[in-house]
Amino acid sequence: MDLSPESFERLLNWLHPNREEAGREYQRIRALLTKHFQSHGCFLPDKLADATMDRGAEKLTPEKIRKWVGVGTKERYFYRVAYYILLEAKDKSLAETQMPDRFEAVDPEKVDLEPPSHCLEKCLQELAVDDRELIERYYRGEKAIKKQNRVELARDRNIDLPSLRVRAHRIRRGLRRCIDKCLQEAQE
Amino acid sequence: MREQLIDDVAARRFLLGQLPPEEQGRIEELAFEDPDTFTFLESIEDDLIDEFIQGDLSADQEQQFNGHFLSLPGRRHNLKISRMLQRHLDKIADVPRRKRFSFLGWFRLQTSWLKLSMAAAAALVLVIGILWILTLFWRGTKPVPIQAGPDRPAAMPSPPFKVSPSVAPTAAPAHAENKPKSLTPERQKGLTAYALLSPSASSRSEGVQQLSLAQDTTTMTIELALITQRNFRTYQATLENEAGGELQRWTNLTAENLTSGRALKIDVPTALLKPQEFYRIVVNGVASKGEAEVIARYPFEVSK
Repeated sequence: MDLSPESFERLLNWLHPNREEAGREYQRIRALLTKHFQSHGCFLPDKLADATMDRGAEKLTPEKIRKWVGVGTKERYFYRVAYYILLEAKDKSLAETQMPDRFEAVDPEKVDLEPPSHCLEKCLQELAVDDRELIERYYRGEKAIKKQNRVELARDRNIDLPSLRVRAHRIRRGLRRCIDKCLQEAQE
Repeated sequence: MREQLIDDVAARRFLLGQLPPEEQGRIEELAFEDPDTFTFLESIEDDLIDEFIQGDLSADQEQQFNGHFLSLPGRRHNLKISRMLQRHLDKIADVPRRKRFSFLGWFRLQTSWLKLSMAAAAALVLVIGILWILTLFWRGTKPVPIQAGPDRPAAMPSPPFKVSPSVAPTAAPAHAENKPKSLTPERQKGLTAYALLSPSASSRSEGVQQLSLAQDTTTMTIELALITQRNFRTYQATLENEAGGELQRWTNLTAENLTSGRALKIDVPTALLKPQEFYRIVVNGVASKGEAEVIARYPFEVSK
């Protein structure tokens, strides 16, 4: 997304009336964003920080300029924008996806991929035995039985339920990456 | 795992877009600042997807799931994969169920002399078991003397907890961002400034929220935004310095619905705050039985 000169001008004026100070403030916020993207393990955090600054500048309305005043508040405005950039980056579709509600309208029919089942089977097989067992037990059963299974699984693993949930999520995230890779390979 | 900055209920409401815009925004900030919170939200996202697949969401939740939740990047893809995963795991679970050994089926196939001998063996085992339980019971009823020993120290009363005087929330109008307030006659000698703080996991090196202190300001009224959906009877707030030393404590605080959302309000004497120093306000929720638990931290730095 190219930032229009008007949006850039509006952004600098909002950051500071003095142009040099505004430039310093821009760099400071950009550095904070880069660091946070890094802490999320993002590839090319600089690029994501630039995307956030540009998106934030484009979405800066007179109403937001009035709302986001005071020391230390401007980076928080950009953090809110950055959350959506992060979701997009995690979904590896920076250019396609958009922001919800207060930022932009969305097309819910986008990204409609049905992963072939052979990819799922292959990726499940590639998991460590321990992880495969965990994910199979985690999703076993329905409603009350599933809940009870999870309580027992957490007890067996000597962890609490929130930790179990995060652990299952991490395995599932790995599976998702593996399936995406498998799909790409199938297309090539 | 580290302590969570938001609870399950708030996370679910956030993901379904049920929170007021300001609270929704605060969680977005927090999720970006703190990777653990982001991962926690993703794990709740997985749960919501599972509940959707299994038809466990209420009609309202399902509407919000379709209207808000699925409109965000990555969610549709995640839903597809979860559906496949669930189908695949259901298939795996079905196979052993079909192959499961049935004792009754096997028993029906055996000859009558074998059935008779097995019934006799089962009865014998049952009798032995009952006798063994009765023996244990008889031994267990003998009284055992209980003695106080040196390894059992007497209960010691814990020292009284030192609490600074309670500071009642001011009746000042709620507005944010360090705007000066019109002065009441009692306050004309010292100026009051305002600030709004959001919960955060940031440390000093990570660019925390800045509070600026104007000259002649004697009191800083701080609104502490609450993002937990749990309601506590009262709240406590403790101002700590960078080393974790307690500078002041406010007790019996109650949550107010201010223009910035649900928040607590405290008056901090500016004499406690030094420029360029890092501070943290720790908020505890106090349940009706009196137990307190940490629900949020508000780090900030005082700018010149």
